Amino acid sequence: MNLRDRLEQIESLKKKVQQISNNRNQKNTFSKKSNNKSSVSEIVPGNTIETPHGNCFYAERIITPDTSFGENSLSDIQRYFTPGLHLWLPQFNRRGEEFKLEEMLFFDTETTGLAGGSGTYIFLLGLGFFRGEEFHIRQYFMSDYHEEEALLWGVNQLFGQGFKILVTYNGKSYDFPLLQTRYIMTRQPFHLNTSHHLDLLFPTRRLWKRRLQDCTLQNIEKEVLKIRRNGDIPGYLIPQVYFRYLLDKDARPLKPVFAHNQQDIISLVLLATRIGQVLEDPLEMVKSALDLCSIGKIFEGHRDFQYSSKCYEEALKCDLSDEEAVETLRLCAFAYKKQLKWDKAEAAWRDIISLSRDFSPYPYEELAKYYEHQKKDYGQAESIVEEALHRLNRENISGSVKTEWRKDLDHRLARIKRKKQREGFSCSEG
Amino acid sequence: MKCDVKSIIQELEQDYTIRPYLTALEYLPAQEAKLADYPGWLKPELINRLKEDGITRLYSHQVSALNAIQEGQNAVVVTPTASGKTLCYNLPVLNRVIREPESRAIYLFPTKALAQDQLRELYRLVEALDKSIGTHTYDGDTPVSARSAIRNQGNIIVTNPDMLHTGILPHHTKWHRLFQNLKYIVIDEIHIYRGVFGSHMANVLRRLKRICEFYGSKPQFICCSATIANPQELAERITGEKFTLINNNGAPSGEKYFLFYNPPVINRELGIRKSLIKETSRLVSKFLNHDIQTIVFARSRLATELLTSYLKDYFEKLGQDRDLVRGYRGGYLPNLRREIEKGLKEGHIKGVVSTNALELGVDIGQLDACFIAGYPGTITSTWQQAGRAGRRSHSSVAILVASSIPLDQYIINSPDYFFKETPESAVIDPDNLSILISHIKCAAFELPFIPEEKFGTEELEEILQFLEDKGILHFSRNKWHWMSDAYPADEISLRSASPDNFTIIDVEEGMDKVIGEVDRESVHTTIFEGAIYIHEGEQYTITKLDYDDYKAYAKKVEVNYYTDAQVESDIKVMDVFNLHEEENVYHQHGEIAITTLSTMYKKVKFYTHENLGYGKINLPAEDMHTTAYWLILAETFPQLVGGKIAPGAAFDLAGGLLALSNVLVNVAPLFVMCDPNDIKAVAQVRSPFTDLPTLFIYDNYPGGVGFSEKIFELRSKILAAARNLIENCGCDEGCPSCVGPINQVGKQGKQSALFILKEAIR
Repeated sequence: MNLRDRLEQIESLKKKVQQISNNRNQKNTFSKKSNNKSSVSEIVPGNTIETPHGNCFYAERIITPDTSFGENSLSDIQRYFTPGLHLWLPQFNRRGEEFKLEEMLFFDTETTGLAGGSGTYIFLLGLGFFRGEEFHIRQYFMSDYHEEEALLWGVNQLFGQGFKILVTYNGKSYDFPLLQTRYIMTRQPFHLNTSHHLDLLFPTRRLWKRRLQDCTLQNIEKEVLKIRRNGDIPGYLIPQVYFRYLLDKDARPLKPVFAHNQQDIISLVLLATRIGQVLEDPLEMVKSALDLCSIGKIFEGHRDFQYSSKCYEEALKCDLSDEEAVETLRLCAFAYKKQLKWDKAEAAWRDIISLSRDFSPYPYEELAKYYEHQKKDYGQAESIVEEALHRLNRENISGSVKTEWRKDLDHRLARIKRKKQREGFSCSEG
Repeated sequence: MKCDVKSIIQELEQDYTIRPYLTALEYLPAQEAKLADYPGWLKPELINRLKEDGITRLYSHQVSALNAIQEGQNAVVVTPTASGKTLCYNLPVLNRVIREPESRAIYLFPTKALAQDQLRELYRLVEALDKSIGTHTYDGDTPVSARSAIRNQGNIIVTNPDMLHTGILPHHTKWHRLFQNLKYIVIDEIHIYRGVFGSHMANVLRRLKRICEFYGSKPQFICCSATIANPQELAERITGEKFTLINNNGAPSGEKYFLFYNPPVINRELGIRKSLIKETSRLVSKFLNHDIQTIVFARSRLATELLTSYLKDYFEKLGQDRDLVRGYRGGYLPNLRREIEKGLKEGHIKGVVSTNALELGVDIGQLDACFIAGYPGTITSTWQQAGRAGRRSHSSVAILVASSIPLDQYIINSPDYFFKETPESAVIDPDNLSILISHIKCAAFELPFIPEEKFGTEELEEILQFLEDKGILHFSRNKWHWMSDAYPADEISLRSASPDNFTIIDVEEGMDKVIGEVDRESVHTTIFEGAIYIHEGEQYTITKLDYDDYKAYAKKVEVNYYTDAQVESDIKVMDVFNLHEEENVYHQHGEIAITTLSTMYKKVKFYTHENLGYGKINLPAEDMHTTAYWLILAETFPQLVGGKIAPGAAFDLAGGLLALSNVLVNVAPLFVMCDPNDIKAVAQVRSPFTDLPTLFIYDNYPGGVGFSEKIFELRSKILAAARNLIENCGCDEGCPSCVGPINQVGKQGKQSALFILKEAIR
């Protein structure tokens, strides 16, 4: 078949591809009309650097210490970082090293898609770092695909400047692997020392998921940092804006993308500060009972049961629904148990019984175990289990669960009775 | 009363309810093993390991394969079931890994189950070697937590083409250690990759090779195939590399009998035979009764379940354990399948009924007897299935039981075709434009394209420019980059011909209950609103068709009719690639555009075929460009106008063409090794293009996959087979086993078709 025929065939195929890309094209109807285009350097201040791979542009903004963001200021981080955040940098802490603010690198990317994989490019890479009192934000930008190597080279120069802690939001599973991919794709070495990567998503989830559920950076900004973004571009539109720029080279629509990325980096600093602040003195800083429970759980994870029970006690002082109170008491009782504060634990379990609307064998079992194993008071243990069985029989619970619970309780009761009997014998013998 | 295979065959031959219906009894003599010494270069620890298993020497084909691979050649090994082919790749790979511990290999199996099975075998070998050789499966079931370690440390990655396509290649940077050190790519069961699947596979491998080149590796290919006509050609087409063929099978086999059984006709006029399922179960129970371990292959899930329950009932009636017989198919959970495989190997399961799930290399040991209930569609599959029975030391038997469809009837009545002909050749078309363009997108996502690059076809640059025009790629400094936020591999399924299947949902069972899937091309004929859709013997009526969301909603009904859509196909010939003219007929091959439209359907009563009424179908027309073979009756064709084919019998052009097309679509798959659904036929009494009576057979896939080209090449054989089938059918005027029922093709349809064939074959 000659080339013309082949072309015909391809032509017939166009229809099909058209259908496939229709949805996509609806999103990116390119308007190529505008004549007065702007270049990137016209819309954001910055510099062009020369690299062995060609030129590369970066935007730069310097933020002075007196600049405030809502109730927050960037310089607060110095005060709060060490005490609170070291919980998430265990290796750092263990070596007893002290970190310097200048060694932290805040990092966020804007990409050509969210799917990941080697066809996703980083077209804007924002980095934030402290120089003395000032905070610098540098945003490396590739104005076309061929500038990627220059961008990565430029970024590498910065990476080589002794940064020790990388701070990101979801960077462990997204930005960082993507960056590694890009260096492999362009066959360049990768100069970032990554032994300390603080991905704020993890502490954020631990601290606020219980209360907020939605832990996207945008929601955390709104709910925790109380920051409002004005005229922010939604993340899912960003690839389309960039693709459009590639075709018409008009940088104006990119301005909100640069602003978006800048705000992300500022939020990283503010969020890191807030996390440090909250963990340094939760009892003072935190008013929400759910947050206090979350913090209690964090300390529990670090086996500081004394502190975690304090958090729960504080939470219990808040105005709680019965359900929330039961949940908090449960956490609290566990912390008491771990500290062998049996009296307090017993009180908590009893409170749970009186507050619970629905039956659960849990507090009865805990009490029974306590009387059986700690106090060796088999009579008490017996009557607790009997009370549980009595209540279980009255409850309206689905069959299989009920059977399961009853089996466990019966089993426990039988054992306690055996022990009681044996004790009776040994008493009478004695 | 245990007896051996020989005496039960004698018993069958003496049974008057069986003997008349045996159409073939072939004896395949035993074969001695041909052994050869371990090659000198093979690491002693490997040899010692094998000697522990009692393998003191290798089979001749294994040594040939090992030496070819050692010399750096790509090898394709073709040997029957249970001939020790896994050693042909495991030994070279392990030998290399022992020598160079950084070496990597990828094993590709067509299914997850096979991958798991092979991995167990590999573990067994590796474990005793006492070396740290990482062997892992990597597929959809691999836990996320284990993936990173597998990527970095696995020496041997066992996976499937789909995972390679969506999970590995688009993320190649995470696998850079694998690709940098990749020495071998093993493709087992390569004969499975034919037609559309094979064409996709070839493109996945083009992408794989591109990525290897990026990381500076050039892996060798080792392929294994069942017996097909063109294993070397297929391996070369799929991988784009030169291959050495290894087919000097040295594995021993015991003597074997192969029987063909055609269930008796109970209604000659309609060509209805005794039920395939009931006849098979009757015969199988004779074998089980004699304590002969038997495997039964059924063609569908439903048939598998039915046969299983019939045989279980049989044992129960005898007062024995129902679990002496087990079913086996894809839908069973892995643990259950392991249990059945083990039971078969250990011998406490006497019989197993399976779909083709057990046809490929899952290890169940060797059994005494194999029943094939319904021709599996290809000679290759039939031998594969028959290979499940066959002890080395004593005799075994395979029995093919025919159903009444034309394909089965052709095979069962032409034993020579089966035993003497070379098996089918596997056809693929990696440059099918529709498939190609999908993979070019994926490839561009994986690595930018540069202008001089090759990707199968010569016009790569044009396609890239085309994708650039569409805003999918972007050209910047001599490279085409991916410019979309989509992940292209997700949009392409390697397995289904058409990317958008319609799902059929049982509305009464709730939204999640999907009862079936239908490809886009069949929507017009099977799931229009009002259609009766039959699923596992149950009737459903389609209550609603959501064309935009690819969904059809169905509810169970019980009615005494089925629906038959009146499909109008309009065919435009776009181009003729090849032609051959004979006295009264012309054969052509080329590109066509086909428009399919159905506007109404008939309700047809069961058994009597009375017309109970009509319904309207409101569906948009479907357009497809594809390739086709067509047969034209020339102006000189005798009796074209008002002729007679016999005293008192007029030549029926329309009925004859229709009858012939029914036969051809059934027979042609035999020769081109495709699924019956992969090709379709349309007969036109007067084609607008040729102005003459024309019968088109086309690839049922946009762009064509190469089947029709093969049909054009093999037309003489195919037409002869069609004639053979019609002539040997016992019916008078047509039946479902040959040209189709009389009420469809007319009273003269059968004879007219035969008449056309006689002219065409001349």
